[in-house]
Amino acid sequence: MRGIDPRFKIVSFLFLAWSIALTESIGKVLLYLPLVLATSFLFFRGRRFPFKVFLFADSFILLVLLTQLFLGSKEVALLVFLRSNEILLLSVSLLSSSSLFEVLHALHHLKVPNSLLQVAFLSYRYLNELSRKFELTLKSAKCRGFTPTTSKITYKTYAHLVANLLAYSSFKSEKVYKAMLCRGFNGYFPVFRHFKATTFDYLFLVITVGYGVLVWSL
Amino acid sequence: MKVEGLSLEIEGREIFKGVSFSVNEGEKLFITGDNGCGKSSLIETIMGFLKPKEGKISFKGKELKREEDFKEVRSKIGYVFQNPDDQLFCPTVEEEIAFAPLVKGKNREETEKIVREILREFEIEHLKDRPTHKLSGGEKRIVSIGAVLSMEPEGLILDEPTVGLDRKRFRKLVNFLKETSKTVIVITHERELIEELNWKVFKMGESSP
Repeated sequence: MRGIDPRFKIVSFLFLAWSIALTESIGKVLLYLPLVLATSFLFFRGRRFPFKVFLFADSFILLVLLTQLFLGSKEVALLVFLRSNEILLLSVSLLSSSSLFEVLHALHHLKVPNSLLQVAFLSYRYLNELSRKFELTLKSAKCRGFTPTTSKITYKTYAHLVANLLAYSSFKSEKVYKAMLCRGFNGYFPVFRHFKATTFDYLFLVITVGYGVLVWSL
Repeated sequence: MKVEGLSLEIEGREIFKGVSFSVNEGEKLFITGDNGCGKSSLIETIMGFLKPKEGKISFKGKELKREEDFKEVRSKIGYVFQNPDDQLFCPTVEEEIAFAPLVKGKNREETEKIVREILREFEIEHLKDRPTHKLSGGEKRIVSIGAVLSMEPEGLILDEPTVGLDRKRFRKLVNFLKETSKTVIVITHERELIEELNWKVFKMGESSP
């Protein structure tokens, strides 16, 4: 699954997710299941299934499921459950098999505006760093005797940590912008390695989209 | 490059005052000085990021006044930041090195050649596909130098380039600095580097070299 061109995976995912989301019958939703399971099998082969991710995501639809089970129809509850989990399984196996940068790069080729993608990439890149910085500062505070409780000093320490992080992120953004200017940045973020579509990528797209169209037309 | 009587104040606080020095084409210079004496701020002023209170900066005989003048300086002088984390913003090492040539409008073949040469020169071919934020401190330092060199600058300004480098990479950098024909300014406290390269030294807070 990792070898497939991310552009094809995104197109395939969007089409299948759209068609699953709009399917009204349980029978049809179940017909999508073999394809969803096949892509998941290819992706999860030799690696652990992320049960925690699914439990976490399902906790969001729990309220809808319970409401439908007790106050509405059991069929709707089953439909919501199946549709959301099929889409989630597809997104994990198709999208998370590429790095975020590859997905954003593919979206660029799919004509998503450049500035949006730049913001998404830089946010991911620096949120990661800010989270590391926060953990490091918290560790440093703990090494200096800080123990989080429900006391005033704990809230004050956390306030300082967050304020420090905000100041750091502002400082950091200025520095990074200067570094970009120093290296000739002119608003355009070039990409060096581009995708090369193979026959296998086209075959993958034809099979997945074709399957989706077939089920949709039944 | 010529700096004459340069002074900088930030929020009413004097960072440095009356700094003067000059570097001719192909010349090399160390800038040293106590912590907080304004070495990095001096470079940021030269690159046009901070506005001096007084003084003059000239590049190739032309006084730098407008943003356009500083843009030209930035395109001709490669500046390696003190903290490589500030310098690296691309997703992988290869993309980082390819950034400047691509922005400058070089084609894929030329860029590929530059990237390959830099990866080989600094022996970092194995880091090619690694995300830059997951490298070690020394690796980040070397990649940030490589990323600036890919601009093919006429001159280089390196701010504390030896911090975090192991012996092997330190030697590599020293050899590079010895061999390069470019104009180079290095801000450092590293005595070994200063003694080995034996360049002109400008100590901030003292008179011009």
